[in-house]
Amino acid sequence: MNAPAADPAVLLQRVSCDSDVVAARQLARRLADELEFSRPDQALIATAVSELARNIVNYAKEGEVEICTARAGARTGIKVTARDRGPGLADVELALQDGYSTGNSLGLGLPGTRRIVDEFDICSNPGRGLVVTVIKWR
Amino acid sequence: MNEVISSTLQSPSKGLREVWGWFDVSQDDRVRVSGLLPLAEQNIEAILEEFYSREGGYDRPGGDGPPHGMQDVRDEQRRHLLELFEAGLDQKSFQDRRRAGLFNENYGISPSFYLGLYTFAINRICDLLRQEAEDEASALETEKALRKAAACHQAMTIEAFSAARSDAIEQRERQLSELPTPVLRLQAGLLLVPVVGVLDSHRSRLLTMQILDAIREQNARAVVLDITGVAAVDSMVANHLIQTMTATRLMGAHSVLTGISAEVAQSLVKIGVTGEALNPAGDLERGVETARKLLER
Repeated sequence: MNAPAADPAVLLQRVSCDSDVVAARQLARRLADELEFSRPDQALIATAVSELARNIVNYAKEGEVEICTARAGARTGIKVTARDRGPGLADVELALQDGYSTGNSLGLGLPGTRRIVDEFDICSNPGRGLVVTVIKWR
Repeated sequence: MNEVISSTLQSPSKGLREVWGWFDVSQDDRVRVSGLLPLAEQNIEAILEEFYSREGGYDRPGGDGPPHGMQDVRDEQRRHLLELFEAGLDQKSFQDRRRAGLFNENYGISPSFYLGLYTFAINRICDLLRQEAEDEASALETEKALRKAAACHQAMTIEAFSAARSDAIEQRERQLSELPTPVLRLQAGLLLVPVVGVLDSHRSRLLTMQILDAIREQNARAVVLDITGVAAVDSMVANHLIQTMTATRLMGAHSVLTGISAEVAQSLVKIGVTGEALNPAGDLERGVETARKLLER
């Protein structure tokens, strides 16, 4: 994936345990702060990253979260890509429904994240992995 | 030597082959290197002796470490250096490097000391190789092969060293997360639990058990759970809190959640966590007030 030329910095966090989830969350919050997102929006972005990273730990064991600046015309945003080589999702539509969970969770991770962000893209390759890309515009 | 239980180094044989590849170590190179084993075996002791007896003596690797381990260190270094000449691709050579890396970490041998000694030894062996060589061109090829294999050997050992270090850090984090959360008795029947830090699955199980024990011991009927000090609240943390509070309810006690910041509240609502299950009461003062009212019922 290529970040726009003006913002070559891509923050990458390898995710394989709880403390990595916290680290990814902090990275996102820091970039959101640098991009002058409002405080509540910073918290939303941090929560979205936390949900995506958490899914990696819970379902794929390990993967990575990539955080970078997104630009489109005059708009600035933050783009987060969560990538893993885990089992993927057999049924993406089902996984995006509130309360659906194969684990013992609230089933709000993916649908909740989708509500938080402006753009949400999910690419599942069952048995091979999952890539979730989200953008939140300022 | 300690058994390595977990490591970040990945699948042995495939990983090794790949790393040899990065260093451009070919099959021919490996044959050349393993052919040097007799030469290395004959001279290793003298090389180590020379290294340690030089001016400015390296008699205490790792600074102020205890000198009594010196013989262990030299034995390990001899063994490790000779293992290079096995030029192996198997499970054993993988384990060997992990052992050496862990040894360095445990004995406080810094990467620069390790690399210094290693480079010294390889240079000496190359000197000997040149002296004994009949065919100069072939000796040069062998030297090249040896340097490539040595670089690879060192790199993998340092990787194992840093893996051992991050395992140690992880263990420390684990210990930190096991720090008990205090369960305070505010008044008869009323408990206050200030949760601080990161609430992961392990810790939240521990927390639930602590709270349930305290409820039984102190015959409590209300619990105020304050999460002002919890760094991050996402749906998993919310789920843990809901489960803890449900368990509390099953023990016959009411629970009240306090310390949710405005930002956390907004995030939780967006994710879809509903307030009812968490029985929130704003700040700690209001929470205690609410809990007292629950007691009077």
